[in-house]
Amino acid sequence: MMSNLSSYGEKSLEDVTEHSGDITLYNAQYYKAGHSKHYQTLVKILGNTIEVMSDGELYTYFLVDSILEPPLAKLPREVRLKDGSKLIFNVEENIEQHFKGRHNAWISVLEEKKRYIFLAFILVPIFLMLIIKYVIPTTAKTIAPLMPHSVKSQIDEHAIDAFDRLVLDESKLTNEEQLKVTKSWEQMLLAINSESSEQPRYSLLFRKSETLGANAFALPGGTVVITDELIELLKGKPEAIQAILLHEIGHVYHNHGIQMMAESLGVTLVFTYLFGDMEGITELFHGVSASVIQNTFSQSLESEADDYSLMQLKKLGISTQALADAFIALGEKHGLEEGKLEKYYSSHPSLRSRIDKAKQN
Amino acid sequence: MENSDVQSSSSTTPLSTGETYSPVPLRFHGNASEFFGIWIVNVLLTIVTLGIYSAWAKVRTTQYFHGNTELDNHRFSYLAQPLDILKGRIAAVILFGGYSLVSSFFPVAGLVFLLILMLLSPFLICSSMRFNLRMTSYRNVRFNFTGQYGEAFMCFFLLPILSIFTLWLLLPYVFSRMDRFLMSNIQYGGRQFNVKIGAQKYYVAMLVLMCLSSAVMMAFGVIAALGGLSAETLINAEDGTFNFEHVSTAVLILAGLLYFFVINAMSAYYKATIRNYILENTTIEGVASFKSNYKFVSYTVLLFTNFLAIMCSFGLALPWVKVRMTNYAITHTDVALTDNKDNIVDILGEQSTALGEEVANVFDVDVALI
Repeated sequence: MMSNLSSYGEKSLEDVTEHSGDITLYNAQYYKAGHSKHYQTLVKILGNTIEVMSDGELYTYFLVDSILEPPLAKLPREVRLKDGSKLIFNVEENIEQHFKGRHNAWISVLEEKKRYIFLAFILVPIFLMLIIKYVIPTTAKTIAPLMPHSVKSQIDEHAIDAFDRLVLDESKLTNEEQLKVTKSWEQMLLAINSESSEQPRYSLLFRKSETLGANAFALPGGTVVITDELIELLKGKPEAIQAILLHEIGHVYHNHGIQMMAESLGVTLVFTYLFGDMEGITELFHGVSASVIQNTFSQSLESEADDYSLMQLKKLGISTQALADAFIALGEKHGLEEGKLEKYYSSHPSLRSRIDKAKQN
Repeated sequence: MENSDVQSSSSTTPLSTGETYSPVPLRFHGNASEFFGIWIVNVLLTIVTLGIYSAWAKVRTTQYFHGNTELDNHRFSYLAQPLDILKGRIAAVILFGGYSLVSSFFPVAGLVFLLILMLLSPFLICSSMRFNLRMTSYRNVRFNFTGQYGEAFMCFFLLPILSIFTLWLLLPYVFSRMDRFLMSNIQYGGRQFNVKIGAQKYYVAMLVLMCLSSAVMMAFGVIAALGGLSAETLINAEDGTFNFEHVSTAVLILAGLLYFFVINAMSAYYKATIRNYILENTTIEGVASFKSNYKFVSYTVLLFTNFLAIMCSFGLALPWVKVRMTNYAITHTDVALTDNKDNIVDILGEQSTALGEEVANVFDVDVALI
């Protein structure tokens, strides 16, 4: 490193005398390589050489060996010299002329010109929206069916295990009551399975749950859980129970569980990647917006499951009113009215809109 | 010629001790509107290039903040090469994607993965600190981090786990060990940071925070009771779910804001107290001494208005927030230097990679320096 310096030093004198191009003088700060000492100097750039006078010594460098750092905002311009020394020029000094074609300035043009900033300001939200609304869900939809069944049933096993420990209790229904539901469940499965060969293996579980109340849910591997409370609520409306179960089968059929996981992974990755180094304050923002995004996504999945249920009901020759009945009963229990805020913070579409849809069919 | 004199001064020159520390100006020249342009254009380029440009974006952002920080009429610089950062980013995304996949599909295997990551985190912290500091230079002399895995493992893995068994009583001590590890292993041109801190201040700060939070909780209870809300009306007797029928949306939003205000105030108190304490007791022997004067009230206001701005602007206020935070940190820090500032020698040769730093970033390993 240091030997280089001396060779430049020797060469310099000849160069100074021989060269006759335009001579330009600049004020600069000269930082010696690896040393905190610095000098306020006069720098002479002529032809192919940079000459630095400091501390009574003359240092000469070749322009081709020196790198002008790309401009950034109003930061002083930095030239890195071959021996590790550094020159810092004021922004006003037009030293770019000596580095023509050798330094990248286009990026700072984008960063500084109002029209490009404005363009980015418009495009960033649009792109983010497209990614979140279309790219991620479509990707999730495409990769979800690729998940092998063995993996999905493993997920079911783990999940049921956890649910049983946390929120589910053994069913208190009599055998007779369970049998009634199981029978209609099996009939439905026969009807569904007859149309296509490749079908997930569905199984139905009865559980009691004070926490979940009247509820039913499906796991990716085909396990459907219905609570005693829901069967109690829909007592005397076996078709409504069927409609609900079909809705849950719809979730499994369309691979909704896996889609949800893939989509939440996708959103997390995109947010972390784009805004990850912006420190803790983003986390909250991320949390809120991610849950809004996921709920919109989940609302669309719920509608899809509703559609599946309505379609299968029709095939089975059951009135689609059955699904509406189930929602009406649920609505009476939980309340139909929803605030505006809830629309964004709820994982399900509003019951009223779902009832209307079921009735229209 | 002069090169002999450059060489002789390397690493051997003893600094004269007993020098007087005289205050030097510390200024930040960045401004929000300028940085907004840089930020938004970089986000756009990152999206358009499917994430690849983010490495360049990171370099430019850091260069902007380093370059606009001026201490004693010299600016800091950031030397990292985007390609190094890109490599780290790719590794981080693969690791993070793998972890998320495994943990969402196989919770048990995910736990194993998590344990491996936890064992890895002391290493990530060390390499992240090393990379960031080595890429930071002042007056053409670089910083460095000398922390080793062993002590990092102690501070960031073993002690936190031990503190669980002491009912968290050990926690303030653990925090003081973490901070001391991070700060005292910093070098500037081979000169070690000298950090003399104990755990007392941490215990006091924690105690104050505990009193504060219980007082606030009681106040919340009183306000709710005055407003006619009680546990019975809020919680559905039949199924134990929350019942929001009695609460209007406006009250909910207000309660949420209040909640975040309290959270911000508490973190402001902790940060202000601890930062002031650490910097007060930090020196680079014979070169520099520091002082921090974060104020509880103004820092709380800063954090809370930042939070509001980000929520109301859907994140577009991020650049403004970042500039404000940096500005606050710099205007509330004093540095005094001795005449030795001209005699520091850079003893670092080789480059280091960004792998650890990037992986640490994506996994939210918090290695933020004060």
